[in-house]
Amino acid sequence: MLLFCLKRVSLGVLIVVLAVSTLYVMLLSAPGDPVSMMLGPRSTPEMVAALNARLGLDQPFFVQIWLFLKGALTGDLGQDIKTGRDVFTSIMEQLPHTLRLVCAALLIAAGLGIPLGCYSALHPNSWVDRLSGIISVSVIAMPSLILAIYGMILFSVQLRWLPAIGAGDKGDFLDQLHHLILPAVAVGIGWVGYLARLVRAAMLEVMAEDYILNARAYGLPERWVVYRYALRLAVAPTITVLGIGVGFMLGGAVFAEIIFARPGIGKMMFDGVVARNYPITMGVVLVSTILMVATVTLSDIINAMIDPRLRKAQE
Amino acid sequence: MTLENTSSVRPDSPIVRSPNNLSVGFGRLLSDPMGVFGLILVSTLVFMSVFAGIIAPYDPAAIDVLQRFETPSWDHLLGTDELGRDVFSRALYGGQTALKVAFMATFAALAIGTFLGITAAYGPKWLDNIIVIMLDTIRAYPVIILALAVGPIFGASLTLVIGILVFTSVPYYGRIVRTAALSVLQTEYIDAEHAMGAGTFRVTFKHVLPNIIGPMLIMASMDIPVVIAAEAGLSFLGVGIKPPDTSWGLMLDQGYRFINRTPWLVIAAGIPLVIATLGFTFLGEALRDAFDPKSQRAR
Repeated sequence: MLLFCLKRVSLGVLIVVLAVSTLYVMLLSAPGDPVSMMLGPRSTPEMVAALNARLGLDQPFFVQIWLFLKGALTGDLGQDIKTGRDVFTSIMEQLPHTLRLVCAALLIAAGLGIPLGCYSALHPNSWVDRLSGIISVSVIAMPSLILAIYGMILFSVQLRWLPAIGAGDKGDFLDQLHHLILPAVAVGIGWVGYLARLVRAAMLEVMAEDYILNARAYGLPERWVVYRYALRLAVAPTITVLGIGVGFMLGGAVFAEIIFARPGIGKMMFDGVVARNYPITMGVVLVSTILMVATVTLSDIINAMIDPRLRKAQE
Repeated sequence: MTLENTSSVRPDSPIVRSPNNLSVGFGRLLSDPMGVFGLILVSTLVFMSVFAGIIAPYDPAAIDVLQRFETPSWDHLLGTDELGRDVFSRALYGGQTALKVAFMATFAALAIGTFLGITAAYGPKWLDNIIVIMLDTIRAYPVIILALAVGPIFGASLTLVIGILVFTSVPYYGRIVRTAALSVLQTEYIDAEHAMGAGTFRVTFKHVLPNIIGPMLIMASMDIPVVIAAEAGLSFLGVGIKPPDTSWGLMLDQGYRFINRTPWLVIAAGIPLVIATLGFTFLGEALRDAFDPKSQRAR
C-alpha cells in the first residue's frame, strides 16, 4: 500500500512538472510575446527588455522553467505586475474562497447524488427512480454558467431570497453560508444527476454478484448487506469521478465567481487575464493544476484502500 | 462529461455491427420517449441553424436604436438587445457557431484520441508509457483555466476554441480507446488472426476499430452538449468567439451586462443553450441505451 501511494504521488509530481512546462512552451511559442502584449503598443524596446529581465524571460527556456518551479517550491511565484504584490500571498488569500465553493459543490453532489442513486438501485422502476432518472439527465449537461445566471435572476432578483453578489461578511459564518448557496448549487447540481446514475448502475451490478447472494444466504440483515458490502464497492467509481470532477468544478467556479462577484482564484485568473497580468495567470494555472492532480491522486489512493483488487491491478 | 468509469463505454461488451442490430437499435431509440424528445429538439436545432439565412426574420447585425430592449412579441420572438438587434435571429446564427464547434471539435478529438489509444495499445511498452503520461498530463489542466491562460496570447478566435476543446478532450478518448483496444487484443481470435499471418494493419482495421467504434461514437455524442456549453462559456469569458461573429456565449455576456436593467435579455440568450444541451443529452442517453445491450439490461 505504501509502495502504491509513493508511486501515485511521484507520478502526480511528474505530471504537474510536465503540465507546467508544456504550458510554458505553449506561451513561448505563441505569435506575440507576452511582454509586449502586457506593455501595449506604446512600449519602448528598453521597457520590454527591462520587464523581460524582471520576469526572467531573457533566460534560456529550461532555466526559466527551472526558476519557476524552484520558486513555486519555496512559495515564490513572482510579483504582480500592476501592484507589485507577491503573487503567492495573493493566491493564498483567494484560494480558501474557491476551495469553500468547490467543497460545498462536492458536498451537494455527493450528499444528494449517492443516496438518490442508492435508493433508485434498491427500488428500480419506482416513481422515485424514474423521476430521478429524468431529472438526472436534464441537469447533467446544464452549464453552470446558465444555472448561475438563471438562479441569480430567480432567487436574487425576483424572489430576493438569496444575496446576488459577494461572499458575505468576514467572520459571519451564517452570512457566508447564505452567500454560498446559489454559487455552490450552480457548480454542483449537474453532478448530482451524474453521481446518482453512476451509483445506481454500480449498485445494481454489485447487488447481482455472488458474494451478495452469499451474504444473504448467511442470513445477514439486508441493511448490513446493502450498506456494509454493496455500497462500499458501489461508491468506488463515484470517488474516481469526483476526483476528476474537481477539475470541472474549478472551471464552474470561474463562472460562479465572476457572475456572483465572489472573491476566489477563478475571479483572480479572469482579472489577471483581462489586465494581462502574466505572473498571476501562471500562478493560478500552477495552483489549479496541482489541485486537480492532487484530487485525482487522492481518489486513486482512497479507491485502492476501499477495493484491494484495484491495488493489485496497479502494482 | 467524458469519464472513464461511465457505463457508456464497456470494453467487455463490444457492439457487433450488423444491419440487423442497427435497425433494432433505431427501433429501440424511437420507442424511447426521451430519445424521441431529444431527436426532435436536436433536429429542430440543426435545421434552424443550417437554414438560419432563410429562417431568420432579421439580419442578425441589423441595428435598430428605436427598438432597444424590446420584450418578446410576434415581431421579435425573443425580444431585442441593447442595440435593437433581433435576439431570435442572433440565436439562429449563434447555433451555427455552436454546432460547427461541437462537431468539429468532437470528431477531431475522437479521431486523434482513437489514433493515440490504438497506438498505445499496440505499440511497445515504452511508447505506451509515453502516450499515457502525455494524456494524463493534458488531463491535469482545468479546461476553463487553461483557456483563460492561453486565450489572450494566441488571440481569441473560432480556431482557438476548437483547438483548446480538442486538446483537452483527446485524453478522455485516448485512455478509453486504449483500454478497449487492449481488451480486444487480448482475445483469442486476435491470437488466431496473428497466427494466420495477419498484420497490424489488418487486425487494427478489421477487428479492433469495428469493435470499439460504436461505443466511441456514442460517447462522442454524449460529449457534444459538454462541448457546446464549453464554447458558450469561453465566448462568455472573452476567450472564444469574437464579434462580429455570433455565439450564444457572447449573447449571454451582453445580456449579463444589462441584467439589472432588463433580466429578459440574458434569459432569452440562455434559451437556445438550454434547448441544445437538453436535446443532445437526451439523444445521447437514448442512443447509448438503444445500442449498448448491457446498459439496456441494467435499466
